[in-house]
Amino acid sequence: MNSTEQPPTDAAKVHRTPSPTILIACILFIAANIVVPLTLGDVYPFTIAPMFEDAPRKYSNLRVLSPTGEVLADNSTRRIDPITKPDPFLLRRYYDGNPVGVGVGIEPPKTIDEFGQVPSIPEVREWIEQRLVEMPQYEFVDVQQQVVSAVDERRVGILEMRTFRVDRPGRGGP
Amino acid sequence: MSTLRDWFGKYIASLGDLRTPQFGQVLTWTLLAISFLLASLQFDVAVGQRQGPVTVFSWLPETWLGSDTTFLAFRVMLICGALLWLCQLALPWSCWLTTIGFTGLWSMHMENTTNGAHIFNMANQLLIVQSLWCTFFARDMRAAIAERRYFTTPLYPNWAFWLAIAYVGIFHTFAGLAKFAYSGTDWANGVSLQLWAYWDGRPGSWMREVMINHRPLVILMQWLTLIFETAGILGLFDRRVRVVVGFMLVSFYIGVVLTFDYGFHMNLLLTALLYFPFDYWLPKWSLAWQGKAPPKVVHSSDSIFGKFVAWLIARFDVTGRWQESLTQS
Repeated sequence: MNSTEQPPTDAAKVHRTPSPTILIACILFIAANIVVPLTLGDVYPFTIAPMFEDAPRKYSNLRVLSPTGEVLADNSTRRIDPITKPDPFLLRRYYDGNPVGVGVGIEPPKTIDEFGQVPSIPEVREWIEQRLVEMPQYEFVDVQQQVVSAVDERRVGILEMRTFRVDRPGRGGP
Repeated sequence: MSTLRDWFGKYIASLGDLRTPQFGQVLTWTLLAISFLLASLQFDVAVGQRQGPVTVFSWLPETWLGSDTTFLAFRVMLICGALLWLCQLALPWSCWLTTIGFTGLWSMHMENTTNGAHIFNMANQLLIVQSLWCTFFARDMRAAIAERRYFTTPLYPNWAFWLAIAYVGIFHTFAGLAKFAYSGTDWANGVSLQLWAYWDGRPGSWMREVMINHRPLVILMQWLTLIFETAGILGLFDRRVRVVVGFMLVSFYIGVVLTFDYGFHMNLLLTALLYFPFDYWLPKWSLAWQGKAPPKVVHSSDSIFGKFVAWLIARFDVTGRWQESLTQS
């Protein structure tokens, strides 16, 4: 059955030629759903549905522990690190499959996290040091960085675990 | 070339064909159920630097965008509109009240968040399509309801059906093209979907476990997604193609729903409703039901209860079966 055939009904086939107003309304609806996303981007309810358009091959999770071992930050999942929680080290993952900041009215705050990228140890160290300047209660913190990627031909998982200590700038030696 | 022209001419000519409104009404009820779901959601308001425009309501004063009153106003509009529309009252104004309330409420959420998901776009746009239908057929609808022949009167035009299909097609085709444009064919590298499942998949989900451990299968899933999302618009042109594309899209949504908590259930439902031949099945089932003996419900049409039953039947008896009972009693 092609698209111009009718499903069965108990009534005789009835036809009412659409008025110009109807045709214009239909054309405007279709045009708006093509033109608005392509020119203005995601302006709800218009969208090009960019979710998961990227193709990441790796990412990393960061965890920060106090000198006593208390977990101060953990950006591994949104269940652990919801956006309602404070984010003192600016590690939060705002990526949710969509391009970060697209189609949302509040610009996501600064963060080191970029899904698909793995910051190096010096980059993380520098980032954490900048935050520690405003946290005199911590002489140092321990950082755990999980690198997640393909671990063999079939599976993904934790490829590498990096652990390092970051001292507060200006703190004397141990 | 002339064959194509003939086909296109036939296609355009059939835009005005009318069918009984079982399918259109079930689509409306589905959208109203989604409307009530949206109306029941609570939203957090994030603090930070505003950016935009991100919604069709971004032009509202900034003080209004994050205001509880604005949320409440759109929520009330949505609930009142949806209740009226459900009861087929105040057509077509109730349709637009619902659509504006729906658009406004989710817009306010998107205006006040740092993370969003495309879980209500499809329902929102289909509400516009259904509102257009009701706007241009309101008089006929009101007359048919008053005479209790709504579900047996050809009132649902092909243009409304194909407009809905066209939107769902564009939505999915854009999603496929966005992947091609941003990542090319490397999008289907297998690792990317495995990483998404590993990172944000629901703990305990068997589908997540399958995905993170079987890359060849995931590569196949990604290729099928890429091909059939991009092919979404082809569903507009042929019923058989629509069913095949619909089957793959619905399979994709089932995979997403089994793995993630994003809330794509509505897209799954609406895609299935529009891409599977429910527009063919529903009138057929209705006819089959009408042939059966009417249920034995005796009521007086003069009593308040009788009037209420008649009122309900005129609006909700999609089979026409109870209608027969009412007229005979």
